[in-house]
Amino acid sequence: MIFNNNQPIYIQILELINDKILNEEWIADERIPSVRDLAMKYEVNPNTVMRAYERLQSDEIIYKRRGIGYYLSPDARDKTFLYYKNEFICSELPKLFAKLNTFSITMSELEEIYSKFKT
Amino acid sequence: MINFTNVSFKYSKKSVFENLSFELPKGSVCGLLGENGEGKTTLLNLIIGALIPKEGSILVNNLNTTSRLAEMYQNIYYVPEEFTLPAITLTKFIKAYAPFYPNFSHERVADYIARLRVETNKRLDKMSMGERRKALLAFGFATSANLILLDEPTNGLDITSKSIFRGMVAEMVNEERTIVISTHQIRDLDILLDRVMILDQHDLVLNCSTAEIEKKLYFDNRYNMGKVLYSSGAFAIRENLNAEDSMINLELLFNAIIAKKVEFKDILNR
Repeated sequence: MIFNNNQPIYIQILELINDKILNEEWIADERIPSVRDLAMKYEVNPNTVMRAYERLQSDEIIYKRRGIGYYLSPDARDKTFLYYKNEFICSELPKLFAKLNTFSITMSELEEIYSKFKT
Repeated sequence: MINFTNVSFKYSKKSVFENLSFELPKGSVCGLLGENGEGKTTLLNLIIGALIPKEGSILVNNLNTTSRLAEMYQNIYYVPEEFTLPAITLTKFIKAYAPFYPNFSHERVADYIARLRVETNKRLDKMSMGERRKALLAFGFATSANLILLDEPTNGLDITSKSIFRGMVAEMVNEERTIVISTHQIRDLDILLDRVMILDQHDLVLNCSTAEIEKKLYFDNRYNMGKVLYSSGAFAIRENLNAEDSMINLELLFNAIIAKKVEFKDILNR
């Protein structure tokens, strides 16, 4: 696994996990890989995966069954979806708006481009 | 796991360590960094009892290394940077040497051999350095020793094997085991480490968990705001005053500590 140098590894692992949740590769109320299995797969220190799992657990995206392992929460996908949508609105959209401003692109122009994109 | 108390060591007239004291906890993957000739290999040889300190004491698993007890060696495995192997096949090697390790796993050695694609019926002395290293890594990890010392383990390994090796290390980590990796190839291994030791001018100038480093230092772009402690190219290290997460840039940290030992020691010890 190759990671970038801009963000802590556990954050990058969180993003990989979020993709799995959004793509429904991980399914609600099913067991997810153990910390050790994921550490082996991503070739990182198990503590790093643990840190990502702790975050997911406190956000109630995953839950733990004592002695068995971690499971995906029933509403994990909705939560992850909303979280990412919100993050896009807060951090990506302002950048897009700034560019629209720079190039004097109007809303109607944008609408036209977007409707072409959707078809 | 490892306790050095006031250890001094010298080769005939050349002093390597003077009054060196440190502790290495169990359950860590520790990167041992230092420029050539700073004593990394000497330190590893002291830990395994191959070299005996002139003064002071070294305890490994609470046993003094001067005792050189079998009990101690059952739980240590060392893969040196350079080594020769006997003129036998890996199969024979395993048969001959596995009995020295009570927790040796034949199942796991077979698994490692398959994953690293080591030939078991080729004579070890006819193998390339990379093949021999893979053979010894497979054997060493299967001993289940709770102290594993690796000197430049990725030297001579192809890209696939490096990746498999990293997975093997991740798999080996547990609360009872310590893995010490001496290396110049920081980028091969940095994401596995949870502890860093840096040797400079024959002194241990850093022995710190990555969690502590992350807590105290912030790694970012030099063009951002705030006081820079050290910078190189576009990268900078600052004091982590706002308790933010960043990714440790080990190469930058290494250069920073070599250049500004006192300053960083002060911040990291706070």
